[in-house]
Amino acid sequence: MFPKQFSTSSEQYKMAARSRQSITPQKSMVKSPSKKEKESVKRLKEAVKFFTDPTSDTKVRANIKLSNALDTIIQEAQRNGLSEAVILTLVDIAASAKFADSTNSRLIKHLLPMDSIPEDAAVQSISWMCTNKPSHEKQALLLKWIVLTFDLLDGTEKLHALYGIIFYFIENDTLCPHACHLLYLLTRKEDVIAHRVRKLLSVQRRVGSQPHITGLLSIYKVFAPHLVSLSLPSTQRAYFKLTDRNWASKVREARERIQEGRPANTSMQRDAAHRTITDVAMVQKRRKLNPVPDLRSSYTTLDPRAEVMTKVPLEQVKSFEEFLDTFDHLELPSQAAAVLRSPVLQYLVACRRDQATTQRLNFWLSQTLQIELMDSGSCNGRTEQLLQLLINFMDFIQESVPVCEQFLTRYLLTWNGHDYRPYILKMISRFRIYQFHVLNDLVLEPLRALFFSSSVYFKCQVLHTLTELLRNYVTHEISRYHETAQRQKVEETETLLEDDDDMEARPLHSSSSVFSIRVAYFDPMNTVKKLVEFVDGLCSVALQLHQHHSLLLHHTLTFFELVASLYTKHGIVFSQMPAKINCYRAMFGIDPTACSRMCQIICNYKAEFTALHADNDIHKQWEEMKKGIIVLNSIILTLCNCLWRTRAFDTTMDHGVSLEYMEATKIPNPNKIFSMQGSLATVCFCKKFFVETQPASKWVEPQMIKSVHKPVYMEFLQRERMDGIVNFIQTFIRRTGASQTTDTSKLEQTSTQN
Amino acid sequence: MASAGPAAHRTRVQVISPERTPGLQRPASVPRSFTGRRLHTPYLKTPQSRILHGRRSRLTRTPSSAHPTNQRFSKLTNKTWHTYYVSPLYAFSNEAASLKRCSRQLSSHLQAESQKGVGVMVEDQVTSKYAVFSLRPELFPDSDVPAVELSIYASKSQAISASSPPAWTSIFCPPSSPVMGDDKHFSRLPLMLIKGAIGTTNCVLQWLQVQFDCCVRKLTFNPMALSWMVSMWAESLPDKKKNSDGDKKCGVELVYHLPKEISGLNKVTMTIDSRDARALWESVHEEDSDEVEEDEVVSFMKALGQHFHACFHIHLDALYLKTIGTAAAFVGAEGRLKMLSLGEASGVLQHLVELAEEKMASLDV
Repeated sequence: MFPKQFSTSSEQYKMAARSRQSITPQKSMVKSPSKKEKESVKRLKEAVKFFTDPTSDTKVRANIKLSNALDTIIQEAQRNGLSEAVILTLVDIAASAKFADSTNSRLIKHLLPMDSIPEDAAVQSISWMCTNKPSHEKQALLLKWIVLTFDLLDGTEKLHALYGIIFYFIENDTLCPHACHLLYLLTRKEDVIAHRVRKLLSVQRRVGSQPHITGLLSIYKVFAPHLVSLSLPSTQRAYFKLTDRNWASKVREARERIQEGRPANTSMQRDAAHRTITDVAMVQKRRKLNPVPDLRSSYTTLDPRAEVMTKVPLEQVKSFEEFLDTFDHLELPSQAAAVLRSPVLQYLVACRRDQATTQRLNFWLSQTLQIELMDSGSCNGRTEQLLQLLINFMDFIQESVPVCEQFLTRYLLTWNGHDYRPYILKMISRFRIYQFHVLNDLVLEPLRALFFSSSVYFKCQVLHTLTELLRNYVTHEISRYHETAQRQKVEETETLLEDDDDMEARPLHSSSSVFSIRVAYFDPMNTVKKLVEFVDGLCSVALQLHQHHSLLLHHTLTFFELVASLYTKHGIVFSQMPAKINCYRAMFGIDPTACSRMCQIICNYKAEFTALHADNDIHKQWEEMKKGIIVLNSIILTLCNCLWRTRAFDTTMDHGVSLEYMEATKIPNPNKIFSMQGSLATVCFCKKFFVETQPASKWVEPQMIKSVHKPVYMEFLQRERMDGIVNFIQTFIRRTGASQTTDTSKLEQTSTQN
Repeated sequence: MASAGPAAHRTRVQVISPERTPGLQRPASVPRSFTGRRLHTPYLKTPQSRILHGRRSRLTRTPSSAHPTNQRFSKLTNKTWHTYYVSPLYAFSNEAASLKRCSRQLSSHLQAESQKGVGVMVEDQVTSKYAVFSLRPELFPDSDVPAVELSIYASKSQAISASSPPAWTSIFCPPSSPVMGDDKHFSRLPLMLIKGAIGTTNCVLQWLQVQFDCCVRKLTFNPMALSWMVSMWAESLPDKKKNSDGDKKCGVELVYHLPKEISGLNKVTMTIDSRDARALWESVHEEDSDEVEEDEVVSFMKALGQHFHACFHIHLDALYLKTIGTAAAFVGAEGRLKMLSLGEASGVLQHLVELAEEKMASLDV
């Protein structure tokens, strides 16, 4: 830290600093040059020497040496920037008013650093200002220089120690704007003291409402709302005007040059600290566009004695490291809902799990959602933004906000299926797990009503949402539910034991949830099971309605792909088969990808059951699994008969259509129409296969692919990415030479064994 | 939600005036000499904490003795209020010091709002606007939480002397029943009545929202809520002394607005003599029952509609009920309230508090 006495006797410090400087320049000058730039370095050295030499001629007119030296320095500053030592020397020269004012100002304007500006240079210029040697204009220029290059300083601790000194400059009308700006950048919570506020207000009374004073007051208000009140005029565009655009652009160039050289670091954050132009108009406009309140530090406890004084306001935190350091003391914004705006604060909410905070958020959300979605008529961008922020927040904490669920259940009853559709559906897919009848009444039933009265595209979106909901259940919600329920039970027994001794309501802390909510006791697996049944039903009706719409089929299959991997991927013990109608629809349709995916799903189911069988813990539930296995086996048998053995209608099959019926349709070779070669879905591949393998003149038909050719044909199918079919055949058909037998017997055996 | 402990019981300090305690009897008059100078007697100046009267008094008498039950609403009746509902206030405290701090803060905020861009020192004596938070426990003596009054005066001297009514007033009403929840951090004052300039209202509401992280919104009434009110209060009779001066206020009044498509007619006002309304209500309402049933309300409104249809061939069902007036209160759909009867005021406010709570019912997660 900077010793206190220096701030009072700056003259002394300046002397000390100068004597120190007299040694350093040469040292660093020697090590810097590379061979190519030796020339320019030498010239720069000479130029600096000219300025430091006490015998140099200081007059401006007809002084070639001076203009040469100045030009050299300016050129070098703009090209590569000046080293720290040179900057320190030149600040001394420019501030000491040894040369004429025009020279000094040119020098100050070109103090651009090579890498960073030493903090001592800023401190030195402040101390020179205290001597009053430089004119007021030059003093203003020095302050301006510090402000412009503020984020290039290598530190601000020492400068901050001079806060009190800099504060005196606001009395001077010339220096006031720049001093205010510098203070604005430097102010921390502990700097805002009553007497400074009083002083600033008295200056404001004297000069009127000036933007720069308002700017400084605004930051004071942020840090000490118990001391000062201020409301910003809506016409105010910027607190601090950018007077010298030329200079500013040069500094910007230098900053860019420096940032290019550096690896990516926290300089971004420092730049954010340099937020000199707070566009009030923009804030106001944003408020109209976005209902989420602005991030403002807390007003909630005005008691200056309270422990709040130790808290760190958000505005003071400028980098992520600082954020981590102050994590425990960081103050939440006055309106908790503002965390929706800030991803950084969301960490805070998620980690602290403070019930009061989530409650504040709940209150706000419930009111705002009600007003924005239900009370206002039409769709608008402002609400969309709110919903997007909310969804981002949910994604971040990986759970839904209970109050949103409550709102949604009310909103869904009146929802037209069109307003804010993507957002609403996304929020539905984040729902917590409830008993199925609750979920059905609250969410699924309204969705179902909309589902059957809307277009096929809406149906697909709903199916996608339900798939995501299931995924959410199996990845997050089931484990969360178990944990919450367990904790709840523990607490209940505790309160029973404790009697009335300690009736204080304790929040339900759960490590898996940000919110504390009570849950009903039920089996979450039951909900999952019923949900799958529900979606299964939806799919079969919808597919019928829309004549196997490909997109719908695609979403149906995606859903069952998820279902078929519940155990292997998510560890959920589960044996629900899709309705047969859905399987056969995919298999016997005209869509080859659907056919292939269905085959893959069946393979996955088989893997699932095998894995379940291997797991000893599950044997109790094996009876239930058996039902699934029986269904699976009959499906496998049917598919094998159709695809491979070309006996689609020979025996009594699962699909329930007998050969007599088929013969009545007068279709030739009914047994072959669903075979691997000849089915509607695969016939295109069959044709392609013949084009590739057979001479063009030869007459071909699908049946010509005999069992001998089948391996080649399968390779071909594999190449065409019909992996599902190939996998299916490889899994279920044991090929021993010419005779093929189905491998299903194995599974059948296991099911009978148990 | 975690189960809440029992609501904190606020102990009310019973002020016993010295007259009633014989041991501490004070002489009837402080002995003074003829010149009016105080004599050196063992009786010192009464400590501030025990001054009962005057503006320096910190004590208030027990409400029952100071305000007879009927008169406690005298400041609220016969004025038009705007109704707002308020979500629970975070970090709001009833303590005197905290209220004082809030008063100061709001005063300076109002001043800062009136002159944009100029800072106002919170500690300074504010001249143009002066806000005072005060507790009004006598308004709802049954509630654990006292009602809070917020008044804004044009100057501090006005506030102290109470020479003129405040430029802006609002009353925060406590909840109808203690609610389970986080009492430590949140104060529930669900209903807010506001009277004053809209500019000030906006400014104060904005301050409240930022200060206490709450939502304050207009409490509006749909036709259903208005029908309930008119049914509930139809039988109330106007105050006796009011009976003489205004005959318009005596009856039950219903104002309907017509759909926009219909031209030539804007609104339909139906006025019924309060005795007739009372008779009608008694015919549908079960005697000796305090409960009002939904079917009673429906049949009451239906009877009125049928009567109107018989006279004018207009179906009132198809119109929007906008304003109702009874001897107890006038209520406008857009959230305006004028209470007319001292006796009924308590019931009216209670009902509005319940409506405000209902509006926020979803809040209690």
